[in-house]
Amino acid sequence: MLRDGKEKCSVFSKVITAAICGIESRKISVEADVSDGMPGFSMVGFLASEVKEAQDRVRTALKNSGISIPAKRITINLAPGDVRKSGSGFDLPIAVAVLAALGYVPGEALAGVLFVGELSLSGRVNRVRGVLEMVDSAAGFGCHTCVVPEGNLREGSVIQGVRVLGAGSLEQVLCFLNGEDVLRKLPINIEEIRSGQTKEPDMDFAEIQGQTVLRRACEVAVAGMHNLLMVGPPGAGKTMTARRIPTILPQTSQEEALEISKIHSIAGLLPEEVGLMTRRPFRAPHHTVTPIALAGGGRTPRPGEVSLAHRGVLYLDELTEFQNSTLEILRQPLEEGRVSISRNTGSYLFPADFMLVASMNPCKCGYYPDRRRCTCSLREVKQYLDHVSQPLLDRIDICVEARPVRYSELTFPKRGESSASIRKRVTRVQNIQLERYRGTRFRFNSDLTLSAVKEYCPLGRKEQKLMEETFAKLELTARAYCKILKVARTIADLEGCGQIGLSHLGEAICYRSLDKKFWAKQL
Amino acid sequence: MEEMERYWLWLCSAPGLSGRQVSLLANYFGSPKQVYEAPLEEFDVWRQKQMKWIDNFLNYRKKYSLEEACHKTEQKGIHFISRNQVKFPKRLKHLPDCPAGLFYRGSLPREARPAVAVVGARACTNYGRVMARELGGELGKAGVQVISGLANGIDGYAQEAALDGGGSSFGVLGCGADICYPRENWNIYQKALERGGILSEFPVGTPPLRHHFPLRNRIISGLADVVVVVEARERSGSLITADLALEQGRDVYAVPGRNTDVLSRGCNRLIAQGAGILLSPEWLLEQLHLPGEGQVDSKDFLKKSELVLAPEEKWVYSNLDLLPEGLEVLAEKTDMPPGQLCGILVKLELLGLAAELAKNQYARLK
Repeated sequence: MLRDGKEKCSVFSKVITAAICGIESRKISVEADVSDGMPGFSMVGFLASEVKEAQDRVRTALKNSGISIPAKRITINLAPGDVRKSGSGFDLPIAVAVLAALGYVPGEALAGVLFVGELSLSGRVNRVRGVLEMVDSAAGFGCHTCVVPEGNLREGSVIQGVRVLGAGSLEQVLCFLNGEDVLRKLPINIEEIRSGQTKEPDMDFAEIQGQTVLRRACEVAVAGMHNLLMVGPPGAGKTMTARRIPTILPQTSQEEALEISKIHSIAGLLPEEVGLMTRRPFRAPHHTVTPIALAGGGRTPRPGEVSLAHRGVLYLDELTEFQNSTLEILRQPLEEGRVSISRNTGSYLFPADFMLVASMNPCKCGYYPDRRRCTCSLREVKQYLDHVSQPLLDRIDICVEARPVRYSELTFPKRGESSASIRKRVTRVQNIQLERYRGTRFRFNSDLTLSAVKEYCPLGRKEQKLMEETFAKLELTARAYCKILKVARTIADLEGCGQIGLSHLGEAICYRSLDKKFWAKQL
Repeated sequence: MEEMERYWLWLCSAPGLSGRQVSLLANYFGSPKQVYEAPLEEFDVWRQKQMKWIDNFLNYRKKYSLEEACHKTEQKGIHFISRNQVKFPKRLKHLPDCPAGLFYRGSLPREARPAVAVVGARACTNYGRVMARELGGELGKAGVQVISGLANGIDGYAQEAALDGGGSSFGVLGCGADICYPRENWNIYQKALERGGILSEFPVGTPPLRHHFPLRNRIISGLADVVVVVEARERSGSLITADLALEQGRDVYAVPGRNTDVLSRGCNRLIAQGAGILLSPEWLLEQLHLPGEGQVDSKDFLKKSELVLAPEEKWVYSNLDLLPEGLEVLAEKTDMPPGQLCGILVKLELLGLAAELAKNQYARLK
């Protein structure tokens, strides 16, 4: 069948690996073919440039692992061809495919094994991003074993039901495929990780001295998952408080921990020594953050700050300094709990269900309305307020004052209530809400819509009268009214009351969101 | 309108022409009519003096006819009165730099009734706000005409309180009388039209320019018998008004403040220089030989509220100050849990006894 009658040797192999697309992984087959002809190494399959570069790494790594590559034509195909492949995790599967095609590895050893890892020139296997997600979906790809870089062994081992092996070098992988048991295994007890991580008392609400109102507002906000805005001069401990809010959010469930860890793994932010992030994330992007960095994106989209804050807290310090176009990005995640990003390679959905905490000064100098110190003109104060994007303000239920910490409080020996005991109350209140809204599309009080507020936040006659008077006196909008009722519902839940009372409403009114128009009028 | 008045209106409508320049022209030519009709050559003497304003004025003379100027003013519902008219405010007439005419909406201040100018800082504290309101309200009730500049802050608060108290108030503007500046005071502007007036020496459509304000200040003090400064920084427009008032022979009173408050420094300095101390509105009325509403023994600012409050509400109210304080501080002072405190503050706010000036910054209003 060959024209020149010369025998042509052709060996073909196939290795399974995975590629990260958005937040999910796709099964990718790496096919290698070694045939006679012009010696060369060619790769096809809609590859990003870092994947094309793999050929040099693979060839050198093979050579340095003691394998001589014959002067033949090697063709690599990454299938399916319509999925764009990016990332450096294809080195190892390509090398294995070449080894198999060259006959160093028995073909049956590759069945049901998923390979992922980056190669260094010496043949070492380096850490890659997204291993947790790949291992999690390995079973779905029909794999029983995953060979991952040793540096990713801890995160991979979190997934139960799949054998996860850590490869240190290409040589080890070669030995393993020839039947030797050289790859490391890491048995992991998830319960141990969970309890171990929560014990670390690195941050606690007890460290916040005084600030009874701010502490209370935080508790209410967390209990109903209301977004929070703190207004106060520099040095009022706004950032310090915000950092501690994740410690009073209820503990993560196993699924939540896995979700958080996956996103961080894909973003390459999962520390090597941490397999599973059981603590809620706290993200505080600087106000110069770009819309892409906040929402996620890039040619092959990666999670942005909103996704990294998933199931945790997104903190925007100096809210007025953020570009309005950047803050507009937050609309979708705040409404839907996820963010969709469309690129020419397809559209991706990233989870982004976070609690928004923001802070700002009351005016440029920070001292308004203390006219003895604040020298801002009325116009300046108004202009400063106008920096805040109204659509974002509309999604913030609670707004509270933060005042500077006093010396006496810094030296005061008594510590405030600890995070653990606040967390207990918060968890109880959140469970009340989950129970109440079971079977509806709501989870927490903050999710309620105007029509649902009528159903779930009924008012007695006295309470109605108070709201009526307040509505007129404070010139509330329908939205503000709705937010007050939602917060009042949470406060009532905190006190264990089924019915919203006058005191609950009063407190909620005090926490009502910044009303620019009204504030400006009061000047 | 009699004929000469129309010519005065035309002359006073020339943009950028000061009162002094108007008089100069009118005196030189004999009357505004002659200014209007004089041949161009007669202005050569003026042009040789290389006065820039004369070119602008000649431009105006060329472009705008008598009818146009009158129509433009009348169309906006603005009246004009020249200095020569009998109805022109007598208080102003005797001033050395009396404006040649006044544009006004509503009415002019009445000669027989006492008039008090209340001026102060735009960016005032809540203390100044409460003082201005109290003073304006009492003066209004007693039938005293409150004169001010319709500005943000003290001016506006005093005028609003006077008008709300059933009194009359006059706003003297640094722009055309057809323009409400600042716009936030539109309500006061409207109310003043009904029960008082809006005055300006600037022609219709003049924008509020920086250098207009010291000029209008002399009219504010000129129209009043007494000038009260409520809050002023050490170098401020209010002190200019006070200085002008002294030059014009008006009595000046100042509301005292704490020594350390920047916004009271101007007032305290005035007092040191011999201005009267304003102890209470009634006290001022007594000085004006007018019977006040309040009893003689309650000559204090801030009358006791007649509202009946619950003990806790009273406790919170008594802990409120005229200067705003945060929720956090109040929680400490009253030793109440935030929830209860918030509820009471909202109630006090609804009763009009307290106000939230910025996020969670509360101050008493009465």
